[in-house]
Amino acid sequence: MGFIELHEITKSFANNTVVKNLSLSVEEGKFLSFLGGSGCGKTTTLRMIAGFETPTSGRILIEGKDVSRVPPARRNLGMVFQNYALFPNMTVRKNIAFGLKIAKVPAQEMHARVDEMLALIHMENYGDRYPHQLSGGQQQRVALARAIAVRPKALLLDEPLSALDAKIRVQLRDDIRNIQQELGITTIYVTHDQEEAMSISDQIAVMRNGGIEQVGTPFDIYNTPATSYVASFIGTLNLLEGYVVDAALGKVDLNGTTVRTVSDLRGFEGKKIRLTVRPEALSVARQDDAGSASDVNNITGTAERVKFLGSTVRFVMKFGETYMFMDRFNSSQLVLPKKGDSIRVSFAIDACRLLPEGDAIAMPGSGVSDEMIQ
Amino acid sequence: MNDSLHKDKERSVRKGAESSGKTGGALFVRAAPIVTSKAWLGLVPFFVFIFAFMIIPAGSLLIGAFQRNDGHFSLVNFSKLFRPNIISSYMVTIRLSFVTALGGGLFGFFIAYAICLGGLPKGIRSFMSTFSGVASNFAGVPLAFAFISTLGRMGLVTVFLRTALGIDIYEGGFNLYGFWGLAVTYIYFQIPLMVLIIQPALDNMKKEWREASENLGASSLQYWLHIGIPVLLPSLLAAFILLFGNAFGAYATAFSLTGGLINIVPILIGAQIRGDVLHDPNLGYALALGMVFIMTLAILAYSWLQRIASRWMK
Amino acid sequence: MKNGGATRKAMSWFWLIIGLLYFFIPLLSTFLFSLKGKKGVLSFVAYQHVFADPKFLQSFLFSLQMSVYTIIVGLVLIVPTAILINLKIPKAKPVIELFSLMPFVIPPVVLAFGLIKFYANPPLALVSSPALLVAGYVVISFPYIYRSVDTGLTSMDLKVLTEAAQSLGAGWLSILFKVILPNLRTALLSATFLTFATVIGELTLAVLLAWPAFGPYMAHVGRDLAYEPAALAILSFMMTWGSISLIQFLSRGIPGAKSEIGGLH
Repeated sequence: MGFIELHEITKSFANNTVVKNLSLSVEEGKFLSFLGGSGCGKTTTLRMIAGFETPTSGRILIEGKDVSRVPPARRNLGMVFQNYALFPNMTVRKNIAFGLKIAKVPAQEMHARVDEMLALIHMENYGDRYPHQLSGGQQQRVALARAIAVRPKALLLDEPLSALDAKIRVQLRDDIRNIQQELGITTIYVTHDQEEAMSISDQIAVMRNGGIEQVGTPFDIYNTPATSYVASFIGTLNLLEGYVVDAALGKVDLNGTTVRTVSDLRGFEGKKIRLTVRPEALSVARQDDAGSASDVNNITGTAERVKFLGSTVRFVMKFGETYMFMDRFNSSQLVLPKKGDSIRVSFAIDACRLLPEGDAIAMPGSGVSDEMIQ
Repeated sequence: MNDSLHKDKERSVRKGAESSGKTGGALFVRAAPIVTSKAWLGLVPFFVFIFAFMIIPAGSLLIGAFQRNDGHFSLVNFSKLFRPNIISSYMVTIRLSFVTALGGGLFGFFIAYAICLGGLPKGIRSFMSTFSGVASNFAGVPLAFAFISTLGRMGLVTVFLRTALGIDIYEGGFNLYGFWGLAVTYIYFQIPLMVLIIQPALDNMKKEWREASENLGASSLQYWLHIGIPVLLPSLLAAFILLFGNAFGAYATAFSLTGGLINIVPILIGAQIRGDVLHDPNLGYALALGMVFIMTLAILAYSWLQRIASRWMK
Repeated sequence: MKNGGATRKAMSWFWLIIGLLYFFIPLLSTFLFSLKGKKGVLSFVAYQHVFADPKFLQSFLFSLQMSVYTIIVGLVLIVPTAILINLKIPKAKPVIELFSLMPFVIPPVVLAFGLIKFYANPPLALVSSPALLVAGYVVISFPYIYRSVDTGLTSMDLKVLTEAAQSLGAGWLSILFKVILPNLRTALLSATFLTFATVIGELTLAVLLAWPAFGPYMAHVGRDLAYEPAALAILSFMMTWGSISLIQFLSRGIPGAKSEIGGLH
């Protein structure tokens, strides 16, 4: 039994159903992220757990007790909002102490707890400041301290970092994770940023159209996506169109080059299919494996341009009419191709996945339009 | 002193000429940012007007207030201010302003809250805003007529209460031409004014504050006590002072409702000007000065309270 | 939460309805009262009497004329000042804002008194000239005009617009007439209607400076007659409603152009 359980939750506003029949279980002490684009129902789901919205149907259990109709003030969950929502008329100390004061915690204990919280967020010297005197990152730290000061059963965070600068975002997400680990508190985190979700979570629930596409560890979600949507939403993807030439052997014709896959292609004879390969699964082919090796495919494209992403370098190539990305680790020894150079790349036959025709994809990494490489 | 001022002016004129000479070409001078001293000249007509028709005439009352009728300096007018009837008229005016600012302010606040944050259909807010604009401008003579038609001795509501419900409000001590009648009438324009001026402050109340306080276990009452009211306090104070002043200076409504018979300061000043009773312009000056003095006090009190209430702001 | 929301909504309806009753009962009573001019039947006879009185039209036209002068003088005086302050002398903004509070500290009755005293004697004997009335009206409506114009100016990013126009070679006159004023149209119209609504029925200055304006005329009718004042109240309510609705209509869809329509009396 999970610590927080959602049973077939549905939420409709007027004639618009935002969350459909959603079920999920979060184990105690785990960090789970709802990841999805805007309008996928992730925030509404979190707000239902917090109690700010009431499910149209379905049940929410916390520690086995049905809380679906319990008002937010009685749920004992900590919440952190996107816009910090610090009380502007109170100092940092008073903000953190607010929940304790409401709970009538004795003054001495309250002060001790506030001090402890200030130390936890490394803001011991800011206790007497007012929210408007703090930076966004500091305000969000205080909001976090305020939420956990009351020792809630679970912590809920609604896109807490999306209003912050990139650098502070990365730093603060590590802080959030560390504090969560330190306290061992069950945490549900809403974000639209896949990198953020992957770096911070034990579990990710990828959401689309009010439902969950897949729940799994970041490792599983990335490497064995359950649906094409998940595959395309997480990370970058090369999308290649081709025709099945030999279903039994898994052979596909891509623009005149035959590649092999480990997918079961029976029933697709002669049909158009789509294959996906992650950019990091591609490498520059060595001269000697001229298509003979049994477990790799080789294809030849022309270089378009090179994008520096920091630790990696992304080669943008044109293969027929399709753009492809290949990621390589950055190093000073790297030989960069010039535009128009021919590049021969290889990838393992088990690196490509079959995308059934018509299956929805989030946002192709490449292949469909050249907008992506501009 | 005069000399040096003159020199300064000369110097700046010369400087202006030099700079235009340097940049050369009138076209350039036109497009370049104007020298600030020249820009200040553009404000002269406005300041001359405001001084000529507001500051100096009002200031001349100050001088008049310190003069006897024969023009000699005297404090006699101020001693007249302490006559019982004048003291009482100040008291009535202050009480009237206070009651209508508080009543209209509270009532207007509830309505503004209802239309801003109460979850009412959207159209209602824009209707109420327009209507508040109309109603807050609907004052003076027509407003007095409207209340005479409603709550006067022959007013429809008065008659309705008497014939249908057997309640005679005039028997019960109500008099439209007295204090409470005037208060009820003033509140008619105080409410919509409050609705208009408090709306921006209510719009700045984040719904997350309420949610965060609920999430931390607070009740609705605790939210208002610890967050809602403290956050709104500076705006509420400002609105209250504005409403107070609005009622304090109101002449037209009181004049047309009571025909100049109620003992409030604006009516008293009007009477001094019109020479209706005991024509004593110098007393009038002192009365007017008293009004300005009380309004100034109100503003000072306001800015002091404001500073305390808004410690947490910039 | 669901419960709290429902209670809040019920309370909102409650206050709204109480407010609407407070607003509309007097209007309704006045309207019904105005129809009782003929004994026993409801009729518009009171309105006929109002329109038949030649002084009605005379005083109305006089006030209309005064409001037109007030609007012209007010705009000519305040618009350039507001532009100058927003564009060149932001330092002066607090000063102007302080002045816009002054009519509040100096109520119309005090202003009237001051004007009469100061302009009574020969070197500056303006008391018998309508110019003094117009000047007083400009002072009274200055806060409204200034605030509408200021809102209009701040919502259009004056600095960027003028710099863009300058970079395209426009001179100050063409910037003013081709860039700033067209963008200020709504604010100017708001200021116009607001001033109109304030001046047309104004009583204090008109009565104390002894002008046969519409306000004093209405007050006079109110002293002698019973049903005609109600008819006048309805007419002037409709006039105010018309002006304010026009302002709202004009400022629709303009971001940040919340017109200043609060009335101070």
